Amino acid sequence: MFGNSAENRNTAPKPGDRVSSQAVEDTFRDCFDFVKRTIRVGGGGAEVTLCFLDSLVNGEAVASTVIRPLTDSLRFTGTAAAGEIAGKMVSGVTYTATVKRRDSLRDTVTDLLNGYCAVILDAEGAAVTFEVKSTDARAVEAPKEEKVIKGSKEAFTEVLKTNVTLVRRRLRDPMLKAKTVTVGDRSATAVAIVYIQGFTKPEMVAEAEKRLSAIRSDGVITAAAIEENIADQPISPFPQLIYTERADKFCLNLLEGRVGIIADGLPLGYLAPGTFSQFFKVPEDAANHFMIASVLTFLRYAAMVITLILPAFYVAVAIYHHEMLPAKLMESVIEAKKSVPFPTAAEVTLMLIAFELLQEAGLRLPNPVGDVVSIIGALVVGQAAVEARVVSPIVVIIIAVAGISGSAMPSQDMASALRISRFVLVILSIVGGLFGIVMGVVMLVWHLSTLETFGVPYMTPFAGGDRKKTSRALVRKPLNT
Amino acid sequence: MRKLIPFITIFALFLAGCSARGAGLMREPDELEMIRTLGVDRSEAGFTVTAATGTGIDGSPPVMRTGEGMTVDDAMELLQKTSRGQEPFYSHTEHVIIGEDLAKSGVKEVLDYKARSSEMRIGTAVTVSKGMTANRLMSSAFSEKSDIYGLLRVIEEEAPALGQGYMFTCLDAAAGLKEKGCALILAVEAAKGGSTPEDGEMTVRAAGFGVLSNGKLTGYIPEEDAAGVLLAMGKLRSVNLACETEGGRIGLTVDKADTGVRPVFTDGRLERLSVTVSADVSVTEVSGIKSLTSDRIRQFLEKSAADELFSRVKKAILASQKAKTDYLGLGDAAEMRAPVKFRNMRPGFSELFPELPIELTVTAVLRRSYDLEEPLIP
Repeated sequence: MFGNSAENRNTAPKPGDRVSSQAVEDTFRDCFDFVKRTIRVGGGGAEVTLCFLDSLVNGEAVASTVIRPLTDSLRFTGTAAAGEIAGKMVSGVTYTATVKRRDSLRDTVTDLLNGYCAVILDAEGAAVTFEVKSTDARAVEAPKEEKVIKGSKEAFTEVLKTNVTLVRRRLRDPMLKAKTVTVGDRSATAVAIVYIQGFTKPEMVAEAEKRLSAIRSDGVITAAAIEENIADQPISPFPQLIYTERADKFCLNLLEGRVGIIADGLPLGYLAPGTFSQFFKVPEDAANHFMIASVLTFLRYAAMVITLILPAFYVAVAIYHHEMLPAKLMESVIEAKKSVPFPTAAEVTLMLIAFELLQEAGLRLPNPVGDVVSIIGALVVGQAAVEARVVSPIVVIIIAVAGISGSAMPSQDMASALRISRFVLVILSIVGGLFGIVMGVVMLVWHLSTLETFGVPYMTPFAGGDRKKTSRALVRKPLNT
Repeated sequence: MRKLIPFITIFALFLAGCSARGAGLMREPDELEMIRTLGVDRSEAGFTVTAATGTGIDGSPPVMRTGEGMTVDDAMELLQKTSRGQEPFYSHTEHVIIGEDLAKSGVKEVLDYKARSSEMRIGTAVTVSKGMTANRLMSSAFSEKSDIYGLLRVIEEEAPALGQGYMFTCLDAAAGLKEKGCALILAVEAAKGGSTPEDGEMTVRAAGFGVLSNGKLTGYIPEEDAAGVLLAMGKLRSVNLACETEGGRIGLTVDKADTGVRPVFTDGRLERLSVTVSADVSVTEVSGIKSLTSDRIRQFLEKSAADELFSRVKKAILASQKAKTDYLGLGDAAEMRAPVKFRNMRPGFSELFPELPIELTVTAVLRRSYDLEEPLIP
C-alpha cells in the first residue's frame, strides 16, 4: 500500500552476481546489525572477510567455531592461495557442523539471512558459510488455542527446526521426510513439507511442493499467506487445510497419510487434505474410551447442526410456522414477545451481531480484560436486555445455545465458517421460513459437495457411499478390533 | 450442468408449492391469539363458531369470541373481525365442541372443514355438548377463574382413568363414519362445580358418549355405561368396583384390561364373534372382612369382578346391536384378527351385526391385595 513501485524494488542480488566483500556490504547497507571484519588466515598474509548479521547469529559461536580456527597458524601452515583456504575450511578446519561453499552473491546473502556467517575470499570470488544460528527462541509451551485434556502438551513454536524436532521425537521413522521450499521473495521463509514416505501419496507431496513453489508473494509472515495460496478454493469460507499447534495431532494426521506443512515463523502446522469430517476430530478421541469418543463425536456433529440452524429455525417457526411449536412453548413465546418492541427477525439478527461483537472483543482484548468483557457482555446483553424488554428471553436462550454449540467445534476455522453460514440461513429464514432454510441447506450441501482439497472430495467419506468409512468417521471402534 | 443442479433443485421446490406458505404468511407471535377450544353450533345463518383461548401463562383471563356465517369458514372470518388487534390462530386448537343441535342435524361439514383447513388439525379431540349449544356450554364454564380449555384437558386426562369416557378425535369420528357409518364421540355437559357445592360455579363434566350414525347424533350412551363401552373397545384404563361378602365390603379397582375379538367362521361364513376380556384387579379398601388372602375370598373377588365387568360389557354390546351400529368397533377388531377371511364379510357386516351371536368371556385376576390379612383398623 505504501511501498515503492515494482521496478524500483528489484535491487536484490541476482542469481549470476559474483561474491565479493564489497557486494555483500552493498547489499546490507544501512543494516545496523551487519558486521564485517577482516581476518588474517593463520595469522599470516592471506586476508579474508568475515561477515554476518549480528541479530541472527550467536556471537560466541562465531568467535569459537570460526574465528579461532581461522586464526590458528598451525592449521593453515603453508596455505596462501584463496582456493586452498576455502578447501580447508570446507573440509573441516572450523568447528561448525554445517559448512557450505557459495559462489554466487545471492546464495551467500540467503545464508547470511538464515543465521550463517560468511568468510568471503575476494580473490577466489567465493564464500564459505558456516551455520552459527542464534538459538534465541520461545521455548516449547502448552498449546494455547487447542485445549488438551488428555494428551501431550507440546505445541509448535515459531522455529521450524524445533517444530520438525517435535515431530521427529514422536515419529522416529527414517521414512519421515521433511523437504523444504523457500517461499516469499523478500522473507525467504523456509517451509517444510513433512510426510511419511509410503503412507502419503507421492502425488499429494508433489502437489504440495508445486503449490508452495508457485506462491508469488513478497513475504510469508501470516498464516493466510500459506492457506489462501495453497487451498483449492480460497473463496470458500470452509477450511480446506487443517491447522494445529499440537505436535501430537500433526503426527496423528501424518500417520493417516496426510502431508504436513510447517512454515518458519508460524507456530502451527498445516495438514492437507483437510476434509469435512477431520474438523470434528480431536486427538483426545484416540486417547478416550471408544464409547466416550464416539458419543463426543456425535455431540460435535449435533452441535454443528444446532449452531448452524437453531437461530434460523427459531425465526422460521416464530414468524411463519407457529403450528410447529408445542402449544405451551408457543404460549411462552407469545407472552415473552408481547413486551418486546422489535420484530423477531430484528431481535435475532441484532442478538447474533451482539454475540459476534462480544466474541471478537473477548478475543482481541488482553486475556483478563477479554474474560471480563465476555462475562459483563453476557450479563449486560443478556440479563439487562431481557429486563429492559429489548429482547425476549427465548431469543437470548436461542443465541446462547447456538453460540455455545459453535464453541464446541474443535476447529476455529470451521466454527467461523459455520458462523457466516448461520447468518445467511437466518436471512433466508426471514425471507422464506423453513422453505428458505431448506434452500440454504441445499446450497450449503451443494457447495460442500463440490469442494475438493488436494484432489480429495471435501465430503469424504460421507459422499463416497462407503458405509464402513462413513461409520468410522462418526464412531471410533475399539483399537484392538 | 453441475452448477445448474442447485438452481434446478430450488426451482423445483418452488414448483412443489413449498413457497406458498413461506412467502405470504409472516406473522409475529405476539400478533396471534392462540385459540384452544372451538365450539360450533347450528344457527339461522348457518353456523355459529365460538372460539376460546386458555388462561394465559401469566394468569391473564381467557378470551372468548363468537362469529356467525353461512359456512364454518365464514363464521371464523367474522369472528376474526371481533378480535382486538390480535389474529385468532387455530393450529393449537385442542378441542372442538359440537353443539347438540348441530350434531343432530349432521357433523359432516365440521369434520370436512377440519380435514381441509390448512391451519387446523384433524387430530383435534371432538366432543358433543349434551343438552345445549356449544356456545352456551363454553359460556357457562367461562369465568376469570376457569376456562373451558383447562376443564376439557382434565376430562381428557381423567375420563379414561375413571371409566367415564374417552375423547375421540375428529379423525376417529370421520374414519368411523366413513368406514362403518357410525362413531362415538364424548359427550360433555355443564354442571355445578367449584370447591364447595354452595359456590355455584359452573364446570364441565363427561356425560357418556354421543352416538353418531350416518353423520348425525342419534342418541347418547349414559355415563354409567361408559365403562362397559370402554372395556369393549379396549380403551379402559381403570374403573372402581365394589362387592359385598360375609357382611363386609371390598373395594376393587381394575388396573388393566385387555379385550380381544375373534371371528369364528363355519364353512367360510361368519358364525359369531368371540369377545374376551381379561382384567387385572386390585383391592383398594376392605371393610369387615377378616381373611382377605384366603383362596376362597380371592376366588370370590375374582368372580365378583368378572361378573360385574361381564354385565357392563354385555350391556354395551347389546346396546350397540340394538342401535344396529357397530360403534364399538367389534368388526374392526375382528378384521384385524383374521383380515383375509373377514375381508369378504366386511361389506355386509353392518347388516349382519345386529343379529350376530356374540360370545363374551370375562376373566379377572386379583393381582394385589397388599398383603394385609386383616383390616388395618379392626
